Amino acid sequence: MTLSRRFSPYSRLAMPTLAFAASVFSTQVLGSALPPIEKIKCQDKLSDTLKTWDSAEDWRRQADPVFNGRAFRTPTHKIGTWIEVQTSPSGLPEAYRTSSAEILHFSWDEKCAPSVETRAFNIPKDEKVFTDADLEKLLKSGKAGAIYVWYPGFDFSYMAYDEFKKAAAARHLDVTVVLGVEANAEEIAQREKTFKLHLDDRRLESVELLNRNLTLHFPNSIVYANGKLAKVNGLGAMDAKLYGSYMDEQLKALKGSK
Amino acid sequence: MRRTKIVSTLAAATLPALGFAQVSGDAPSYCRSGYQPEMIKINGSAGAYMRVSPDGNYAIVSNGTSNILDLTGKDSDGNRVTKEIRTRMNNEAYPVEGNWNYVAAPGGQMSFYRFKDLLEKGTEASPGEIVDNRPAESAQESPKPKGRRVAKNKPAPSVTPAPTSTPGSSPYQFYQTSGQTSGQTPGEPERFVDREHTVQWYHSAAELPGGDKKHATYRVSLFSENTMRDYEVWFNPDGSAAKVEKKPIKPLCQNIVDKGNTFSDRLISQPIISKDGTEMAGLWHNTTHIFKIKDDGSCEVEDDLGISSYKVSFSYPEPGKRSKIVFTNASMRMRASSNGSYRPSQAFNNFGTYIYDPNTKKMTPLSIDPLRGVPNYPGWTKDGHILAQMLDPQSRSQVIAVINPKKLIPVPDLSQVPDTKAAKDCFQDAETYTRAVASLGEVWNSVCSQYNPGSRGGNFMQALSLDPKDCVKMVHENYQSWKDQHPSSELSEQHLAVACKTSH
Repeated sequence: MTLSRRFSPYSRLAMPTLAFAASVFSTQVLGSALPPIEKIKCQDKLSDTLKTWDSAEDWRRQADPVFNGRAFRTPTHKIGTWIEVQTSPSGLPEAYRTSSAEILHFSWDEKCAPSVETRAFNIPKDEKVFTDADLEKLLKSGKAGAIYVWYPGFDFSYMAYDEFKKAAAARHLDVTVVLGVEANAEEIAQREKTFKLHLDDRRLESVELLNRNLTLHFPNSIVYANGKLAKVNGLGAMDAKLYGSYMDEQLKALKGSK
Repeated sequence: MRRTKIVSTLAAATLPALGFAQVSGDAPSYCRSGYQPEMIKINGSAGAYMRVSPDGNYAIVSNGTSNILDLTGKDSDGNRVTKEIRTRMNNEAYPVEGNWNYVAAPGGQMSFYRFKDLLEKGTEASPGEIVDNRPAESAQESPKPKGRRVAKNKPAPSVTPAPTSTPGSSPYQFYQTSGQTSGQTPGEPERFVDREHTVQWYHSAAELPGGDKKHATYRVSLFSENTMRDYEVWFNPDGSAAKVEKKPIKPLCQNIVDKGNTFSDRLISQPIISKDGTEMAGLWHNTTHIFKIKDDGSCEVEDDLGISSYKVSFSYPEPGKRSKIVFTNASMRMRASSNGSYRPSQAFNNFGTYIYDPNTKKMTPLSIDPLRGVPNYPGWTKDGHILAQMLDPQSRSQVIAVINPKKLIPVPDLSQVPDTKAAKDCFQDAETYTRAVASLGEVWNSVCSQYNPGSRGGNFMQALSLDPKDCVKMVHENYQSWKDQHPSSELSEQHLAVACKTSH
C-alpha cells in the first residue's frame, strides 16, 4: 500500500508510520457496508478500511460537513469507538475512527491513493471529566440508570432536573449528572444562585456519548440497562410524566435486547 | 505564513479588542472583500433562548426571567453593544412571530405582553390590556363573539376571578389581573391572558397570514401535549388589543403522532412554528422534520432532514417559496489544539450555524471560521440576516454575530468543474477544483484573519465570498508564500486564479 500525502486542511498533523498504517488493516472482521450516500468514489478502498474497523453498520446521518457533502456515523461493537464517513462535494470519502484514545483519519485522492493521519486524545489529569472509562463502569455495574447532560447557558437544564430525578427515582434508576460543554465558572455560579441548584460539573469527554450527539441540546439525557445504552436520547426538558414515558420505552427495548 | 503574516501585513494594531479579525483600512483590498460578520458585544449577562426581532434591533433572552437586549446602542468606538431591558416575564417568553406586537410569556398562565409596553415600562409592564378604543365604525366591522366582555375605556366592574363565559357560550374566557401574573383585583382592566392553554416547556407563537392593522389571528403551539390554540385579535388604532377571541384548543399533528403508541411516535420534540404559523419543525423519531399545519390542527410531513438538529428558526415568508430554517449543529473533525492537550470534546463540539432550504433540499453550513465557537439560538430577521449568540473563542466574551447568508450562499455546485472554458481547460477533475477553492480560503484566512484555516467547509465559504478581482490579486501576491508551505501540492497559481472566477 502506498501512502501519499496530499494537501489537506489537517496537514499540520502527524503522519503515522507505514508500520502503524499496516497494522490498521491487519484484522479482518465483518462490517464493510458503506453508508447510504448516493455518490462515493473509491468505494472498494473505503469498504476495505471499514472491514477492519468492526462497524455495527447502524449508519446515522450527521449535518453536512460542507455544502453538497455528506456525513454518516455508525457505532462499532466496542463502547467508545465509532466510525464516521464524510464525502466531499465530488464524492471523495474520508473515514474517521474515533476512540477514547485517538482519531484515525483516512482520506483518498482522485486516484484512490490513501493518506492517513492520527491524533491522540490527551486530557490533563487535573480536569474534572466524565470519560468512556466512567461510562463503562456504569454499564458494567449491572444496574439500570440515566445520564443527565446539562449546560448553564440553557436555563431548562436547571428547571427540568427535579422532574428528571423524580422520573428516574420512580423507576429505581441511578442518576449521573454531566456538564455537556466547557462552561465559564462565573456563569455556573450565577445560574446556581438564580436557580438555587448545584449540578455536578464533570465535563463530558466520553467519545461514546459525544458520538451519540448528547451535546446537541441541553438538557439531554440517555438511559442504560443490561450493559447497553438506549438508542434514542431523551432530548430537551420534560415533565416527570414525559421523562417517564421516554425511560419506560427505552428500558423496555434495552431489557428485551441481548 | 499564518499568524506572523497577519502581524507583518496588517500590523498588530488592526487586531480588534474582541479578538475577531476586523480588517483595517490599511489592509489589502482582498482582506476587506472577505466576509466578516458584525459582532455585537453583549454587556452583562447573555441569557439563553434568544429570539430575534424582525428588524434585528432587539432580542429576547432568558435568565430565569425573560429580558430584552436592545442592539441599537454603540460604544465610544462606534461598535454596537447591547443594553439590557429587564422585564417580569417568566423564563423563555416567545414573541408572536411575524411582527412582534405581542410576546407570549408562560408561567402558570400564558400572558401576552405588548412589546411596546415592555420596551417602555420594563419590569412595570403588565400583560396587555384589552380595551376597545376603536372608532365606532371600525368596531362594528367585526362580529361580536358570544360571551365577549370588553372594557370600554373604563375598568371592568366584575369580581375576582373573572371567568366570563356564560352557559352555552364559546369557551371565551379572559381574566382580570393586577401586576404581572398573579392575583386579581376588582376594578383592574381586563388583560390578554390565557389560563387554559399554558405550558411548562417549549411553546411558540406566530401571526397567521391575512392579518392587518385592524385584525389578526395569533397561533400558539405547546409541546407537552402537542396542542395549539388560535386567538383572533382586533386592534385599536394604536396597536393595542381591542378584543380577543380564543378559539378551541386543538390537538396538533394528531393524525401523525397517533399512529403509534410509543414515546418516539407520540412526541414532537423542540417544536417551533414558522413566522406565519403555517408550518412547524421539531424532532420526531430522532430526526428533524418540517410539518405543514392545517387549520384543523392536522399535519402533513413536508421534510425529514435525516439529522437531529437543535431548535430551528424559520425565515420570513417569500412569495412562491417555502421558508428556510436555520439551526445550530455540531460536526466531528480533527483540529489542531493550541496547548498540546487534545480533548474528545474539541473534536466533536465544532458547533456551527446551518441553513436548510426546503426548496432545494440543500443544507448549507455557514462555517467561516469566525462563526465557529458554539453559536446558539440563531434567528432570522425580515431582511434575511441571521443573528446568533456565541462565545468569542479568543476573548471568551459573549457576542451576537450578525450574519448575512446572502454573502455566503448560494454556493456553486462544487461537485463538478464549473461550466466555463477557462475552468474546463484548467481543471482535470472536480476534486482539483474543490481543492483549489479550499486553498483560496486557506490563503485568505492565513493573510487576513487570525483564525487558523482548519475547516474545509470554512475555507470554501470564505473563498466564495471574495470579490473575483480581489481574489485574483490575493493569489498573485500570496501564491508563492502559500506554495512554500505546501511544496507537494499540484495546484498552480493559475489553478487558484481560475478558481477565483467562480466566487461571488
